Amino acid sequence: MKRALVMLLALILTLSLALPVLAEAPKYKIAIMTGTVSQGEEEYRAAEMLKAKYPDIVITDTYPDRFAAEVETTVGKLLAFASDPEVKAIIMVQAVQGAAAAFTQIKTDLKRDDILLIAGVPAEDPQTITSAADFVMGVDEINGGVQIAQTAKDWGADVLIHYSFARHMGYETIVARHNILKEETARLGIELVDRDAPDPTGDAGMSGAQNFILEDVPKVMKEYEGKKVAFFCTNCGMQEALQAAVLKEANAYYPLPCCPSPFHGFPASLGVAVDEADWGDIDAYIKKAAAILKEHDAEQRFSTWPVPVNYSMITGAFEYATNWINGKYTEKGAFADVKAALDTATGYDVQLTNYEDGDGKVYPTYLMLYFDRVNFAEFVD
Amino acid sequence: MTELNRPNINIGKHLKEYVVTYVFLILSVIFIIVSGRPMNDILFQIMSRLVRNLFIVLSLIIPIITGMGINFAITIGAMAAQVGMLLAINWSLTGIAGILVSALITVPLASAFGFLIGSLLNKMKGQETIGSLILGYFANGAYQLLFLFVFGMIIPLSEKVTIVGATGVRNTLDLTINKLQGAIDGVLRIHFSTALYIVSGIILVGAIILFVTKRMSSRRFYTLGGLTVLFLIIYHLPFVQPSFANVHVPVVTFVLVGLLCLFNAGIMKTRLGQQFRAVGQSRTVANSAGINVNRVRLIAIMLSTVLAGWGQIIFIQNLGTLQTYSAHEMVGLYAGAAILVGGASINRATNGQAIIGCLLFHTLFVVAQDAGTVMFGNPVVGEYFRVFLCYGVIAVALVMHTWRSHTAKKKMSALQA
Amino acid sequence: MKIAKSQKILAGLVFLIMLALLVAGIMGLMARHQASTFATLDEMRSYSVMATAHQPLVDQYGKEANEKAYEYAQANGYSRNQRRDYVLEQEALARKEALVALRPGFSQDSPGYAQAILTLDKELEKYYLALDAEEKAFLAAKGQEAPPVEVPVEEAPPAEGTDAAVMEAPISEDDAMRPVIDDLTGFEPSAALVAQKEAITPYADALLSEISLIHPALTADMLAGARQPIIDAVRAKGDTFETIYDRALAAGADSVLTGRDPLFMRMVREAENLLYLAFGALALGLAILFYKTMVKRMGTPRFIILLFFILLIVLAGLYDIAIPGMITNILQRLGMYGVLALAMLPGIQSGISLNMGMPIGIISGLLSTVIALEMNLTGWGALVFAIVVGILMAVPVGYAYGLLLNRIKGSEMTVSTYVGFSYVSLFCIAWMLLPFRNPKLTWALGSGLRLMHNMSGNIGGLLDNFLRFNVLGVSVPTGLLLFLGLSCLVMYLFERSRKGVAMIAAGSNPAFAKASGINVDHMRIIGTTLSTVIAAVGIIVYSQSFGFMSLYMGPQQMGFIAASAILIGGASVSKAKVFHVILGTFLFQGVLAMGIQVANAMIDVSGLSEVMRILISNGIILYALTQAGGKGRD
Repeated sequence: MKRALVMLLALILTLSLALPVLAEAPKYKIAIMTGTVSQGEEEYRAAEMLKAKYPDIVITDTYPDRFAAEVETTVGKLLAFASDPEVKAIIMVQAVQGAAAAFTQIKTDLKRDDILLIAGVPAEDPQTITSAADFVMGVDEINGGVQIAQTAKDWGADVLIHYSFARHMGYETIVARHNILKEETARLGIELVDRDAPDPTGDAGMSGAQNFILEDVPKVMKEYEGKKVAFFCTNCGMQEALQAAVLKEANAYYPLPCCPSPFHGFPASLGVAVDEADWGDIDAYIKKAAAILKEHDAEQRFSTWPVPVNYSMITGAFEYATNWINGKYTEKGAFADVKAALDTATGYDVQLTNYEDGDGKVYPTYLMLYFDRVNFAEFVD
Repeated sequence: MTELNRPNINIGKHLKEYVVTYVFLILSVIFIIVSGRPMNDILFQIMSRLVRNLFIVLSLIIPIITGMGINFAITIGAMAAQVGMLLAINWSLTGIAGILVSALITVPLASAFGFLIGSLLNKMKGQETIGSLILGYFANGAYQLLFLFVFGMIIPLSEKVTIVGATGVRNTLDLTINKLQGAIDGVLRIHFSTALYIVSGIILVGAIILFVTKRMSSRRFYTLGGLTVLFLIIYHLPFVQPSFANVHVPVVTFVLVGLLCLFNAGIMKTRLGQQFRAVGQSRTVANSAGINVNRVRLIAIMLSTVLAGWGQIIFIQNLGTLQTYSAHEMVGLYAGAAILVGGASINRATNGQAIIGCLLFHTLFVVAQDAGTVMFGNPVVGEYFRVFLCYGVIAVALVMHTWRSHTAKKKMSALQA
Repeated sequence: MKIAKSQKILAGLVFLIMLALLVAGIMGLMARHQASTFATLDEMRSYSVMATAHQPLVDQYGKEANEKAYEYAQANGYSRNQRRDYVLEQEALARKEALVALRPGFSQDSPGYAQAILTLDKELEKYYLALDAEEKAFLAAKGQEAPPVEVPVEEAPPAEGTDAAVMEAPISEDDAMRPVIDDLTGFEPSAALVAQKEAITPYADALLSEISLIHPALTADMLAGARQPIIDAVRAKGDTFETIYDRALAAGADSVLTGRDPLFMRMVREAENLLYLAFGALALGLAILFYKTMVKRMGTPRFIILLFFILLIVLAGLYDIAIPGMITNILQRLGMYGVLALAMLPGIQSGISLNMGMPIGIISGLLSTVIALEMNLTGWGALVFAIVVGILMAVPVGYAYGLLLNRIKGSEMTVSTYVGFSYVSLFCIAWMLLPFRNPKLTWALGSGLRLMHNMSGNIGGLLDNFLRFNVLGVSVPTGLLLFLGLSCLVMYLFERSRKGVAMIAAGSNPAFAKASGINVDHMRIIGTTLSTVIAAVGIIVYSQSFGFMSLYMGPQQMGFIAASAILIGGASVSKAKVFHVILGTFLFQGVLAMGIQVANAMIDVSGLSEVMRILISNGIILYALTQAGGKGRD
């Protein structure tokens, strides 16, 4: 009884104090949702940069580190964006669990279909996320798979080891890449070997999974003694360990990280020192990385994409959203418009394709980004 | 002498007893003010969270009373429910039919799992901690075996639920396709004001009847009636009503929650309920009183697992997407914390504590969402601060609860001395 | 301990089986040197050489069919999945047809053919021996050179070799957090060797011409393409009885054998595996014999898990997984995770049950290491600094944490879990905001500490490689194990000191301890502080062994891993000993490391290996935990 009275008083107090303050300027806002830096800094840095550049337009927030378990929090934060009448676009990279549910709620429950909803690197299956978001961007896993096989072939590899585990092989895009790898390696005459790594969310933990990689790579090299072996792993947390292991073996090769970017795993595995003056200078960074690789005789054994893809998705989406809000486009998520926005944002001629799933269904609003790989040898003086 | 002293002691004692509630309230108020977010958004989100989580939190009560602690087996119950939902989607069942079939399938599965877990835990007396840890990993492995290898390779499923390009259940199951989303909530949705009027009406009418038939004391009648009328008046204050503009009450869901409350209360009055309580108080004493301790614990876990499974169905149908391989992780994390915040102890938990705990817990989580960002101006630091704060507050709440029960014990032993 | 009659009988039976296996294995090994065995092997090898000669034709048909099918699928707009299925189907069909068409070649044989194989084999054998000798010399010479700057020099010796020169070679600091295999970069064969290789050519040519005599459909071009595979089919580098047999069997050579030969050859081939099984049987027999003693010493659950571990070793042997390498890995894991598991010990003993707030201690250790890195310290100085400063920082934090735990007697585990989560997030803020400026430590795109930090170049591998030695192919990380042993010794001595005894008394029976005049609260604080301090040291030991340090969410999982280890070792939430720490870490990590390797070897379906490992591994542990009996139960 008394408890209820107190709660009542608190409610009155709060409501009287928290009267909504109406904004003055009738401008628009673009909301960007990224991860924290606990899994990687790229997405957050893009948002940070845009906020610094356009402080009146950009609002940012981060989804929880334990996004798989804290879906309600992610949904809540997205809904909070949408409750602001000035927000006209929401960009979410990576679009982790809860994105589809939140986007659907924004459209139906909050009735805000004036908000442009853009998802990047979705953790939910294509059918689900494309029906909820206005358009979706992803890393081109299909052409990426071809690239991995071809790179391995260019380097003269005889074997390609694919590290993954059951839970990852439930993601449609990872399965698609694996299928492409199976096909391409067969055509190129490379032996594809699937090896299971412990699931980092299981009893081994992330440390156990990383230890497994460090222990297994020498074993594999011993088994295929004399042959050249390329390695690929589908899990982000294990990239540093794989890179470190491959670095030490003269016949081991590393065609591509799971999320191709110059910053994925390499800063730690190579111990790259980046001065404050060089923050954001990708070329300077790649040069430093190439120099360190050369010291280990490895500049011809590693590769990645020259552009941080997730970063580009955010800057490209921001460009697109700005144009859309200013009425430059007629159709939501048109291929040419998105490509133009990405090209402007990255300064590259981005190779964009519509996602086509294994059964031939083409998704007009799911766009995949692809870049040609880096040749570190070119960056060595 | 004691007459003069009583008012002071009352307030002090009152504060101590409800200290956690007050701390949460004060924090919530602070954050609401700091974050500057509109109240209607906050209340909308709090209602959504309550709708999703109340049932699950209430399902934890029986095992706590039976002394089995926070039943981690709700994760397993969630898994069972997910199998049910998978099959419902696979068989293209829509709307309420799909939900009912899921719930039906959940019952035997969750009971079986609960039975297995209960038997295992009974055999591992003294090693429950490590047992639960390993059991969690084992269950996850079995779940993946079922969903990725058995379904698809051995038991064929329709392509609606299979991974494109492989066998096995796909990563995300969309409930909007089969109108399973909101199937329970959407049956009847009334605005908060309507709900408020109806509930107030029922309370007032009920109170009047009880008073007239002399079954309620006058003091109680006036307090209850007065409070209800006060709530109604406050609601009509100019700044209150628009805050609740977005808040809708899904009737069926709350009816289900109410039924579970009645069930919890009702079962405690039966002989089985008394056995629950006895086992929770002391296993040895219950044993010597002739109660089959193992059997009672088994029943408690089985009941709780089934209820948790149903709770997961409510959760997922509200959310709209089922993350096949991680949805069950969501359950265990918060339900236990919520009921602890409400004041549950090692062997005591009531409906009221569950509801209040759920309300306080989720309110704090909702309002703290961007408090950190606003305070630090940096969303990454803000998010870290939110986690720090939320878990810190839960820890503090638990400390205060334990401290309170310790001082209560001390007082008891002092009085008895 | 009295041994029951039934036990003796059962053990006797098992020992008999072991003897049978042993005899069969030894016989098989010895048979490898008999002329008759060689004759049979030669028959099989002729078959496999012929099959290899046919392979390029089959492959060619297969590849043609593959390409045709691919183009057809693309032209007809097949989806990717349809295309994949269609191509596989067509290729398999074509291969089958080709094999059928080429069958006649196998029925013919000629003495010239058989002789050509034997002569070529002799030459190859000589060549490979010489090559081996030169490579060994090269590796030995490399080991004795002064290592040039930043180029990894040392490598672990080959599995069988016990070359003394290689063992004594120094190990560069920069290197081996894990032993690298023979690194032959820069090896140049001598002129004599090259000439020897050239001399083989005519013999190979002779063989090829014999083959084309037998089967004219195989043109010279095709055979030229298959030249090296044919030579390898006769004898490849590093060939043993097993590899030749396996190759032949894969080609289908068992079809030419008659009578008891297939079985006999099988036994000869499996000789090594039979010896592994014999070892397994020995272990089983001993286990049955000394069952009661073992159970009394370590408890039934541990015993079962130990048996499972031995089973994994036997399976590893059967599946040709290098056992010495596995043991090296397990020893390293023991050291890495051991100290962290040790951190749980004083907590349990002093009565705060499992210290799930271990992240608090871990973060102190991480912070001190990061400070060392910021100051560009390297080597032993950095390690000592990190440990000392880590301990200094862990003490006040642990003390405060202990005070908190004293307020919540009875619910320590639940609250400490949340406190741990909270503290980790608090420090996530710290990692982002603290003024670290070293360009190797900060993010590449902005301010704040980066997620993972490379330990090589500062403290990486310091303890591991200290006095590292090799025995029977196992590379022992002496320094690491010594450190673990030292830490355990310290705890052991502390347990027996006056303070330690008081602490344990306070933990096991607070009421009684209080009555004896022990300040229970004070003891709990000591236990908590000790636990925090050991955790700080533990993460430093872990990071230098693993090679990376993980900030942000990294510390969160460590508590659960340490808890699992000590509980599996036989501790309960209120009673624990040093023995539990070592045994538990060894078993938990051993089963993990071996399990995933064996699972990968046994199960071919992608993804199923890890799932089965989880099920079987954890299932066995669960089963073990349900078995009552012996020590280690509350």
